[in-house]
Amino acid sequence: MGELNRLTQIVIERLPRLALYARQWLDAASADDVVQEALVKLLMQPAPPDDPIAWMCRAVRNAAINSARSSSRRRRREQSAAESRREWFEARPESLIDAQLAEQTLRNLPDRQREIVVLRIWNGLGFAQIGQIVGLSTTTVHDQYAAALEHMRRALENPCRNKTD
Amino acid sequence: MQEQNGLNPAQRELEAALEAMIPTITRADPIAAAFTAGTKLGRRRARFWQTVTAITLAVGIGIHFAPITHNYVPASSSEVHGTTALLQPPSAPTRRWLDQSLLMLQKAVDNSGVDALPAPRPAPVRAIGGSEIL
Repeated sequence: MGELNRLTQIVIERLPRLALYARQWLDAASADDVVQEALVKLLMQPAPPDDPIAWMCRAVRNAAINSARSSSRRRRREQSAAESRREWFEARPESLIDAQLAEQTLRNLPDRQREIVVLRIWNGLGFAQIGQIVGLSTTTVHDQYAAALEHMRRALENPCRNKTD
Repeated sequence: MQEQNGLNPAQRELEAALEAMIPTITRADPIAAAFTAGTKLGRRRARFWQTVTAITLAVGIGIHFAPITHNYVPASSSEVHGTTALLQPPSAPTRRWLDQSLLMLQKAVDNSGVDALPAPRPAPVRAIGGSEIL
């Protein structure tokens, strides 16, 4: 029971980060649904996984990709996306990077690089764990991550050019 | 240029700045998730026991109503192979003595001696396979 509480606490603290990961494929409302589904699945596991965050990332990824492929959900998603627009990051005065600019820069990354950056920076996974989730070698993940950071750095240094791109 | 973990200082600085950014709050509800998980688990357990009960009931009904049949195979049958044992059906001795009561036999012996007794008839037998014994 204590183990389950600890596990639940770890995951609950990370829910916004997992929702951000799901938003690589989905809008805010669908991403929340997917995270909720993954949390239900986690709580239904007979034994807690060794690494609950990596487990949740994998579950969220699979569910989000499935959801994105579903045509009926796509229609509903487009409708809900039109109704509710939610930013990826909280706007904070102490942040070094503007929230909207960070979101825009992330959106401009290639899908795979964006996924790796989100898993690494906001979900705290190692390159080996990310490699297992996205199906790439650790070296490739590392290279893609470095390339994504470089791409973002250049874009943030010259945000006006980034917007016109 | 100094690099750590394959990243140059500018990239590491950007990494740190991005880490400080907080994703917006999700509407995922852990309490609702726990409730849903509990409900689903309970339903799954109930379905398991319902299935077990239904199977047990079906087997019980099947055993209760199924006729118990014995396949009698003649001992001389050429289809009988392997180890066989010959058994008397339980009803055979009863049937033999029913039509020859003790009183009638005593009377016949009194009148005509032992020769009056009916000739012994071999009891009908059935063959059973070795697998039936085991």
